[in-house]
Amino acid sequence: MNKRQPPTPQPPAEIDRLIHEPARLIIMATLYVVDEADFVYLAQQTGLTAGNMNSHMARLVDGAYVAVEKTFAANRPRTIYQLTEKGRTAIQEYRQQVGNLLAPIETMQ
Amino acid sequence: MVTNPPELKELEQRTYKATHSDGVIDVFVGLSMVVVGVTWIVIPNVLSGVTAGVAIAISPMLAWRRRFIEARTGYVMFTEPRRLWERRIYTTVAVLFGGFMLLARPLGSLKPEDIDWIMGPDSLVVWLVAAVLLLLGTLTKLTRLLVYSLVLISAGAVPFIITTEAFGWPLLISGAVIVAVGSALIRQFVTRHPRIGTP
Repeated sequence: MNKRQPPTPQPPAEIDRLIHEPARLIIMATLYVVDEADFVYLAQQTGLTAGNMNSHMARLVDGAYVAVEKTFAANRPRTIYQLTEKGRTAIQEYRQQVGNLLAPIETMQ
Repeated sequence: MVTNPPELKELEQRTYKATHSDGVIDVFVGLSMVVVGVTWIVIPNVLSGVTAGVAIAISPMLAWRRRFIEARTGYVMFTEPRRLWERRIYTTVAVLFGGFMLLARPLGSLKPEDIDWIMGPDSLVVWLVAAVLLLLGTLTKLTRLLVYSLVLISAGAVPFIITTEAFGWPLLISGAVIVAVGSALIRQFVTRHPRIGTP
C-alpha cells in the first residue's frame, strides 16, 4: 500500500516567537507592506491601544526588527517606524516556518 | 524564500484603499467639473482661464488633503513601487488635463449650432474622463471610481436625450453627483477618524 508521507513539521521552538504574537505579527505585516508609518497610523491600522502598541513596538525595536525615527511635523512630535532588513527577512522566514508547520494539515485535507 | 506573498499584497491593497477613502479628491474633482461645466454653459469665453485656475488649485488641495488625512489617520509612506505607480497616474492625469487646457480656448468659442458632429465636445470630454476613471478604478480596486465612470458615461449621453443650448451639461451633472458622493465620504471619514493628538 502506498502511504502518503506528510512533510515533517518543524518543531514549534523554531517559530520566531517575537513575531508569532498576534499583535506584533499584525504590526510587522503592516510595516512590511508600507515603507514607513507613524505611531498613530499603525495604532489605527492594527486596532491596538497606545499602551499595547508601545510595549509591542519596544520589543520589536529591541529585537532590531523595527527602526524608530523621532521627528517633528507641524511643530508636533512624530514617531516613525520602519521595518529593518533583519525584520523584513524575519517576517519572510516566519511565513516559511508557519507554512512548513501547517503543511501536514493541508496534506491531510 | 517568499518575497511577495499574495496575502501581503492583499493587505497592502487594503491599506492603500483605507488611506484613500476620505473623499477629498472626489469633492475637488467633482467641484472642478461643476465649475468648468457651469463656465462652459454660462461664460464659455473664460473656459481656458477657469481651467487654468483649477489646475493651479490642485497642488494646495493635495497639500491640504495630506494634513487633513494625517491629522486623523496618521502618517504613512507606501513602498517605492506604489509611489512610482502613483506618479505615473498623476502624470497621465496631468497630461490629459493639460490637453484639455490647451483645447479649452477653442472649445469655449464653439457653439452647438456651429458643429455637425455626432456628439458634442462636452460628451467627448466626460467620456475621456470616464475611460481614465475606469482604468484607475480597475487598477486601484477603488469601486467608487467605476461608479463615477458609469455616471460620466450616462451624463455624456444627456445631450443626445435632451437638446441643450450650450455645452457643459454633462460635466455639471456628473460633477454634482461626484461632489455628493465625495461629501458623504468625507462625512463618514471624519466620523470614523476624529482628529487625534500625536502621542
